[in-house]
Amino acid sequence: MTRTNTSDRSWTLPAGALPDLLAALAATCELWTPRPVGGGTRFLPHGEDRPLDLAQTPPAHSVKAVLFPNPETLFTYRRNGNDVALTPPEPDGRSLIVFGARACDARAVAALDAVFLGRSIPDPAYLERRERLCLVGLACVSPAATCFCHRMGSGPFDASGMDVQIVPLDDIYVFHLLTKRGEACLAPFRDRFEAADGDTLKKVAATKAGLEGAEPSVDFTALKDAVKQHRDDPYWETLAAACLGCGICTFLCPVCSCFSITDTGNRRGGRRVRYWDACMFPAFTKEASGHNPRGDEPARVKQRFFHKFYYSIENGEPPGCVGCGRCVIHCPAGIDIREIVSRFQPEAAS
Amino acid sequence: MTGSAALAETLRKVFKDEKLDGLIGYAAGTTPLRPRPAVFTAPGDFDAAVFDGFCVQNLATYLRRHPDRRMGILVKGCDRRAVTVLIQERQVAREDLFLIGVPCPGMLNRARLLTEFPGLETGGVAEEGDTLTVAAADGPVSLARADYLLPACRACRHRVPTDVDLMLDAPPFAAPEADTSLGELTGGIDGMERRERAALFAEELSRCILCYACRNVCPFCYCETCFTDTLQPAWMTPAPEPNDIFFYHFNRMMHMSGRCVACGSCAWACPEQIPLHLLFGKITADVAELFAFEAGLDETTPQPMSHFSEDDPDEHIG
Ligand code: SF4
Ligand code: SF4
Ligand code: SF4
Repeated sequence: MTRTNTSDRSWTLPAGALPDLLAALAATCELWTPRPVGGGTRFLPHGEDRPLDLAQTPPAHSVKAVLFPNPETLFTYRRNGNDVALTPPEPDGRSLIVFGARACDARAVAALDAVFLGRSIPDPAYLERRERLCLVGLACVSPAATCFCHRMGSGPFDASGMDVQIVPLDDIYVFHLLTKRGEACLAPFRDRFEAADGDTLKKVAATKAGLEGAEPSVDFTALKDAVKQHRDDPYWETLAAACLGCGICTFLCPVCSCFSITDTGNRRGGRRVRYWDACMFPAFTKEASGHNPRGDEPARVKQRFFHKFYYSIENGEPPGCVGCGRCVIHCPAGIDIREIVSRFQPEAAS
Repeated sequence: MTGSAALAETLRKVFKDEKLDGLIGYAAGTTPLRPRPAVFTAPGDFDAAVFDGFCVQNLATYLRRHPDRRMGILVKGCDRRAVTVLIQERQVAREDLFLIGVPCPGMLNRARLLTEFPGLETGGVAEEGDTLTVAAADGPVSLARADYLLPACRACRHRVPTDVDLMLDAPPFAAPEADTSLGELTGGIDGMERRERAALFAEELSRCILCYACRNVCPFCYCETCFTDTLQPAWMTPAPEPNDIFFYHFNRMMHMSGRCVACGSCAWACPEQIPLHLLFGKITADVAELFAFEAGLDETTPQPMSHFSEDDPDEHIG
């Protein structure tokens, strides 16, 4: 192979060499790979027990489940006489690689950062993982029919938030090294790769061009205003008439990050545990007095979309939806966020 | 019958003639495989009405949301049985309801179809007779409808609703009735060693995220405050830890004994594809065996768990 016209930031790996690379990464890093469990694919600690699945688009669970696990022990406590000892989990010094995350999920990490790190006190548990994170993303070459990342201002090849972006071609993977962290994670394995040549990069560009969005992005500011204007629209009641008030949409959403905290154990010792909560659950906003400011289904359904498209934008945070379509796929009641966006998206944006 | 003008017309006519406040049925969703529950409240709404093999969700669940209103409801066999249970439990009154029956063709396993033929999300499935035609990547493929039924529907022996106010014609597609039973579907569990059985459930339930879709979709999970949500006493930790997940599922199933109509909605709604039919199937098969009782078949036979009879089986007391 000629070494002319090659890129030192884009490397290629024969598809067959991927398992060995992953095994080598797993030996020194905390590596999460997408593998099938009971009909869906999730990011799991890497292992040989289940095959790798880079095909399911998007995976059933997002990167959220790695950075913000459900449930998660925040600390253990042990009582000794009048003393209580609190022990946080051992920090892990290794890099945390999430391998095969899609563009939507990588963008969602920015929204999670805004919640867990963007306030006065960063969340220590989240921060511990986030600082170690190396996001090795995967461009989507066959987006699902339910995907709408283009409309949410992104696309299957969007690399924002990724440290490395992989593009699968016929029998090779092209690794684009995007950040210092990405380089540092892969540098020890440099000899397994070839530098990508001009032809390969052309192929990548052609694949990408083939997937450019037909749909324009929404104008989030206009959407925000439109949603606000329709605060009292009876439409929310129509949606709520079918909504079951379950946690599917929020739990599978890569952006939704509400949680609750509970203690488990006894008087001698136990653990403080954080777990996912959902604005669709009636108890979510129930106050100690018994009063519930979002006491009915329409108020809760509305809240979900207001948070995503009104409060987030108003507060200068990333939009609450990245267009992964997981809620569209799994909502038993057939509630489709794309339809809601279309309803409120002012003509001007399209 | 899918989205046919005839269905829309029939439902619209009933809505007007019976002066209903609302009619609960299915409307076209945003993709072909996702019809959705809908409450039609105006004559213009009915153009969206559909009925096809993906109308799985038990509509009886929505009835309690409309107290003091005269409601119409489209019922398959299992929805009709659920209405009966709700009447027995005094949650709804028969005279407030106008029941529109549809002979059920057996509902289809969407998750499995989508896994095997990813293009269906846009292409859809044509249903005719006992055959499904799906748009596969390299051209149309014919499948036997019977092979793609949901587990609960494979075992269902009560597809045709009884005692309805209006019966619709059978749709021009259906699978042959019952090729298995709930007992058979779940029989494997009985033969297992205790540990093996525990391992099976531990493995399957390890995916549960406690989203409670299975509870919320069930017509009989209508408690104002579920045992999962009480704080005093806190019966379980609300975090999805293995013990709590077990506690939730096995308790819910206890509460279902003699009430579950095996509609399969809970298993269908589960985003993690947890085979909940093993749970409701087992409890329902056990009730059938011990008490010779199937829920929702008539209003007069009392539910075994809310009724004492001297010859109730008592071997377990020892
Ligand atoms: S929108 Fe769908 S997924 Fe979300 S709470 Fe309602 S029924 Fe559940
Ligand atoms: S437990 Fe499941 S199968 Fe039984 S009635 Fe409830 S939703 Fe239907
Ligand atoms: S629907 Fe599935 S994931 Fe959700 S609580 Fe029920 S079993 Fe668990």
